[in-house]
Amino acid sequence: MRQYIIRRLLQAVPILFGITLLTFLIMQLAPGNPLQTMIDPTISMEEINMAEKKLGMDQPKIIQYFNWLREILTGNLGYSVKTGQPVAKLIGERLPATLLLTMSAFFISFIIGVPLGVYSATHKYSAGDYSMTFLAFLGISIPNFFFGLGLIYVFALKLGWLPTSGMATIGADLSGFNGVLVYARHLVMPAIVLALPNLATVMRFTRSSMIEVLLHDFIRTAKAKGLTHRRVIYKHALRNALIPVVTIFGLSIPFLFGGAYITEQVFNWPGMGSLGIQAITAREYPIVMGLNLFTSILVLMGNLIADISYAFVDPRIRYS
Amino acid sequence: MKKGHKQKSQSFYALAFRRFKKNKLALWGVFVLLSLIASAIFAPLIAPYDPYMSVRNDKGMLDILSPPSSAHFLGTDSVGRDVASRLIYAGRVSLSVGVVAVSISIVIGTVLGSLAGFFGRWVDSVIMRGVDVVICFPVLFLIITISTLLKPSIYTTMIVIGLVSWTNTARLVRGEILKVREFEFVESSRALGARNGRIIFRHILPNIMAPIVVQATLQTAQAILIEASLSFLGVGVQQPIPSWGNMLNEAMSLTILAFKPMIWFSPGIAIVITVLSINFIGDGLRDALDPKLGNN
Amino acid sequence: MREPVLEVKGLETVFKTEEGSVPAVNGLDFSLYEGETLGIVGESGCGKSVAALSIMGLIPSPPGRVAAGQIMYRGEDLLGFSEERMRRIRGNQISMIFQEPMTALNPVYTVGNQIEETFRQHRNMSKQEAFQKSVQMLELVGIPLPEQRAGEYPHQLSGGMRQRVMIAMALACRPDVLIADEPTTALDVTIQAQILNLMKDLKKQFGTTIMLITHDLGVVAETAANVIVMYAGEAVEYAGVEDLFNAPRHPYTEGLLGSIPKIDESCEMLTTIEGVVPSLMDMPEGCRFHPRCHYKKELCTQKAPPLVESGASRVKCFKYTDQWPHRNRRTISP
Repeated sequence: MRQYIIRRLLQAVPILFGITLLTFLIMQLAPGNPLQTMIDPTISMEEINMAEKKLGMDQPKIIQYFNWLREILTGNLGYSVKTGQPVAKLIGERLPATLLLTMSAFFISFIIGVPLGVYSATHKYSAGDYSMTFLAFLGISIPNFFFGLGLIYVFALKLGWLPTSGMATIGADLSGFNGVLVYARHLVMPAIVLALPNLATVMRFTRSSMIEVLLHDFIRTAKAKGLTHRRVIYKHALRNALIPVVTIFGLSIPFLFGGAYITEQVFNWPGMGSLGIQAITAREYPIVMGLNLFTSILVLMGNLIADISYAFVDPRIRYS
Repeated sequence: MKKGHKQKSQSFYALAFRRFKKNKLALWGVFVLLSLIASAIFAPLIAPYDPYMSVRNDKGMLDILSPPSSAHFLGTDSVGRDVASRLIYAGRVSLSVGVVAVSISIVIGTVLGSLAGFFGRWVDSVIMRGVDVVICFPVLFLIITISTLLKPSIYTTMIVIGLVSWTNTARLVRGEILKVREFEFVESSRALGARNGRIIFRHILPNIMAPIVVQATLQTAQAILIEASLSFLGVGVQQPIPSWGNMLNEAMSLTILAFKPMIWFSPGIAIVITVLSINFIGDGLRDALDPKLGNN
Repeated sequence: MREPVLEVKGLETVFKTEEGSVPAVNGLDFSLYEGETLGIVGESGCGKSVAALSIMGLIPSPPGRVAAGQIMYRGEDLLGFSEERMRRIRGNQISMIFQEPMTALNPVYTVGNQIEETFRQHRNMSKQEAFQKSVQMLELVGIPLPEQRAGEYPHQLSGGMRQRVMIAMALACRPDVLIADEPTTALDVTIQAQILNLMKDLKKQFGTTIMLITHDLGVVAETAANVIVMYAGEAVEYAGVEDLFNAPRHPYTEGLLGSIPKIDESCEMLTTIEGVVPSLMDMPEGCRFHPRCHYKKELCTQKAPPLVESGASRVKCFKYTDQWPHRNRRTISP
């Protein structure tokens, strides 16, 4: 078990290195020297000259890369071209909103997707299973911006039940329970939009995993013991069926962060995604690249957590 | 030996075709997709107006945001162009972006996956670590970033989607090659002194066609969705070229969203129907070509 | 006279296939008496496992279905029971162990947990009590360090250990009847003997009635008192174990015992046809064994033989009837 975790951690190191290298390579496409953006523009001209020397802007690209990497590792993601604010600080301000949105979508997709998948598997080829399958296909085929606009049109503009955009109403009382309610009302639609395709994937995956598990001998043993149908399904089958579903945890993370860029833009959700789209429109490459780097590292960490939880749910890995 | 193998694959495809024909959703998908392709090819004959021309009404004024009528059955957009005509022409854009982008990604993925699977060792390690790196990036934002850095256009969109979405194919091809390469016929041609390249293209690729076809189909659906997203955000296909994504961009204005639903609803539905039909076909192909992989 | 615990009458279990319904068990009759060990012998695909699953009410449906017959358990027909009532019987009054101890245990729960469940389901015990009982059961089936083993997962145990766990699980609620489906087939020879001895010991201790399904006559010789030989979904011979080995009646039994020259190659082929369904699709007319039978007469190809008494045995073969045209006809003793 410990070996397994250590091996996974060691495997992550070259990937981390690769992520920084790819980011640096993409930055070469941007106008100007990427190292320039690593210097705080508010300091004096002399200090800037010194910093340029220190960063080796006259050195070969490979040296530049390692100097840039050193800055990254010390937490310097560069500075905004227009305002001079540190990129790390800008991202940090937007991170909580994005985490709230992606985590909500994450939970929605598993809490709803898994039971629906189990239902489909245990009612294979029934009308319910077929409708579920159709809805799952719809879920992965509908562009999230279109679904988002549709929800806004119906629930915000026509019915007036939910706010059209943002994270909180300006001037609303955000203390205590009332605050939670305000946030929740704003969160509902973007979280559902972000969750839908992932939910569909989780559901289909749970279904096929469950169908496969139900054919195993130990299910027959469980029935022969006289266990109730519920115990056979929810204790014996589901627990085994969920082991491969954990791999979807890992796959969900880049998917949800990627989806957040569009969803946040549609709902004007003040997270990293809308920061990213604003930065794209304003040609703020330091912010754009900082976001790419930061989200990919988040994804790497998420994958690590998923791999390790895989070991926890499968005793065959845990005790080997 | 080669002959026997060929016969086997023929009956395999015949059987797959029979299984595919039983799948009603997949057949529906084929029907819809063929109609879409036809309407894209014959767009100039079908479209009632020039998709780039602003229409003027009787009084000689620009006919802006007119509601659906007998003349414009989906109305006109914010610069007075016929929505229905743009919708038909946009199909050309979406389908061609999908096909070109996926062709690029399948070629890259197949080449890299073959190299990794066939040569193993450090070649494999480097390529597969590369895959691990690329999949850590949220694909959509990576594509947005690169297409912005290179000037956004329909061609940039095609190329960048292709350049970034090869990872699944590479993994798949590598896995299949690892399986197939143990087969005796590869060994025997190696003994005869066939060069590696010949082994890959003559012997292994025909065997892994089925999973690649499935992968390509499902990825086309994905590529069309990504193109729509990019164009919606304004970093994909640029105005005045019509694309379903950039037509939806108009709905970012609350008044259009609230009061002119036809303008954004019709391209949205067009995307859903296209992507849905391709996904049905892909799923049908998967079930037909590899019955043990299927969900049913 | 002892009462039968379980009486199977005219059992017919069919499976639906694309080409129509196929009977996997076709008119099976037998009685299982209190405290006896009944061996059911036959090749794979002869319907013996299907018969066992029919008794347990575990025929996968669809495609399977018990089409006819009665399964009388202590005077009541199990086939008429509701699913809920049947569930209360399973693992409680009638339990079953399976061939593959490797796959028959759930890989993600400890073996202790899997035994506990039975107690908790049928005896309503607290978790702690059930745990203690489970450890006792593990001790009873001869697992060393039972308390520690209870906390381990199936993959941490050897094949023999796993089968002991299965037995512990099946006997947990002191069932009336234990159905053992090829309990030793997947095990090493030395382990096989250990498991059979364990089953014999436990039977003595609890007086459990055992229905032992196997293709291995050696296992039958060692454990069973009475034997049923099954062929192609039917019982072809009922005999005491001594009679079966000393004076086999049915030609098929003779073949199994190898007391006559081995059946020829093409017949060998027939015996190895895997799976129940396809081979049952086109059953030969008349006696189902006639294509492989050494004594075959025209009569055998025309109609199915009746079940007749021959000595203490009962056999489904024309050889033991008046219709048999042979001069050396065996006499039926009273």
